[in-house]
Amino acid sequence: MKMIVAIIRPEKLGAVKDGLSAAGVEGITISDVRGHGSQSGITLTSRVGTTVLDEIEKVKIETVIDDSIEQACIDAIISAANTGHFGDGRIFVMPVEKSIRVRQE
Amino acid sequence: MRKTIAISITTIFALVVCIMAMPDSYADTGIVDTGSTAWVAICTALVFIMTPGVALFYGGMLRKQSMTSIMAQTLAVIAIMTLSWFVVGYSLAFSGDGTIIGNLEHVLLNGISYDDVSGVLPELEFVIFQCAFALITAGIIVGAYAERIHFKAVALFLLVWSILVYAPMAHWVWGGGLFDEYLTVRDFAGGLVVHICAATSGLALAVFVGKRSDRVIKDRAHNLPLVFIGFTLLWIGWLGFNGGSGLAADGIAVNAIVVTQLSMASCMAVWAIIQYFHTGHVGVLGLISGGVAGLVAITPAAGYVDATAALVIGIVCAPVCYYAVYFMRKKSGIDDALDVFGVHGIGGIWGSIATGIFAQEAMGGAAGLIEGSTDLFVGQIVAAIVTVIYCFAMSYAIIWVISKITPVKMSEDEEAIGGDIVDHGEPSYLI
Repeated sequence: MKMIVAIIRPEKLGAVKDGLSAAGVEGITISDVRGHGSQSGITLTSRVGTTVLDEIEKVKIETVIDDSIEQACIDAIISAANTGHFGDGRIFVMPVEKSIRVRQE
Repeated sequence: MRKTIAISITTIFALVVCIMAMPDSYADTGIVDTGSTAWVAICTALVFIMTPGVALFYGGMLRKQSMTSIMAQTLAVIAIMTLSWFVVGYSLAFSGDGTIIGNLEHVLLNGISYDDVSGVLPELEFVIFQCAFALITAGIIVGAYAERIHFKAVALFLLVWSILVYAPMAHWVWGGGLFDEYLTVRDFAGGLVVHICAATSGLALAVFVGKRSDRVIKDRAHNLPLVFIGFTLLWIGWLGFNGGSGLAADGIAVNAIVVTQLSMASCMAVWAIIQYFHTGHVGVLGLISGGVAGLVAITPAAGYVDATAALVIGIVCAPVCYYAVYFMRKKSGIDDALDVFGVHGIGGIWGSIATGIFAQEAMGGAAGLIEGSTDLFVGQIVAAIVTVIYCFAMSYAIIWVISKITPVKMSEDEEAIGGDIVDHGEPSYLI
């Protein structure tokens, strides 16, 4: 069992969700987040100088999946969220010890 | 005895002379009517509140990253249009009898003192009432090109547009210019001057800058309650917008309020029915769009038609504007962000044509098709076409020239971040 945490562009959320469903993902958690990556934000120039915008809005997707579809999920996210520009995001994969359903049968 | 009779006869004679000398209408008395002055002052306030209303109405329909941007642009409208109106706009629109444009006689309100009379109102009241119309017209434009144009370019555009587009339009229709001279045209509260003019100017800007990038999430209102409050302000303001346009507190003013409400309600209801059959549900944005479309359509006709005609105008307006909006969004390839052309442009054109159909000679001095005259009908159509062409071409030319001076279109990154931070450094919301 693996947890995939993906940080993506907000406007790519729809495409990524579709890609993940096609790859066999069942449950998904989505949050609005902000932050910056290795470019340390975007520099804006105005009349009185420059300002660095280092809190860029992104969407975070978390999902726990079976090991067998891990690569399919990664490929799905990359193909849906890639634009080739800075700020496309990151994908993190981590092991999950247990997964317990709250509603007991 | 004889003396008494003589006095009596003299008194009766004097009374008859007085009665005969009394005007049969308010017009041309040179005397201020206090009731009308009070009413139009109230209407002026009602029309002014529409402009901030537009900011909430538009801002709520966009992303949360564009809320500050819309508010700032609307405030720029308030400042720039007011100054421009008092410095030259009023003079160009309402003084002199030139065909294309007025003259500079009343620059900075030169020669207009507090006790000058226009109709039954102090002339200064007419100036400020018309100023409110200049504001709301410019405010409507903002929605068409939203989320793409830098604030500085918007401010420059408004300044030039107020002189080259709004002042001539007001002069042609209300100030005795082009349309008044050569055509039979009736535009009670601004179907041509306000709605068609604003919508085509906005369309010109939207065409000039092109579509928003795919990185901007569209068609999702970030705050529906703000849209609702904005619509409420527009609707209540509109009662003064149409109700005050007769420039008197009389039966025409009340008639205008009645038909405005009827047209709004009928268009809203029919829009909801169409939306239900088309999409399977009735939405707040749909109801509000229907309401605004109905208000737009009745605007040019409000002083000239009765309640039955208002119902027909509202009912027909709904499918016309609904499918115009649908076409603009899905088929036209033009990114008219907030349906300004579909609602205000097409709604205004329908309202102008409808005035040519339903106008009653007794109310406005010009008969429509139903009373058997084609003069007004033809005049309305020609005036609408001229308005569309002039406002589109002139606005396009203005923004083209501005694009040579200062950057107009935001880059893709800037669009994605949003004008709030890029242009104003002041986001409306902390996440």
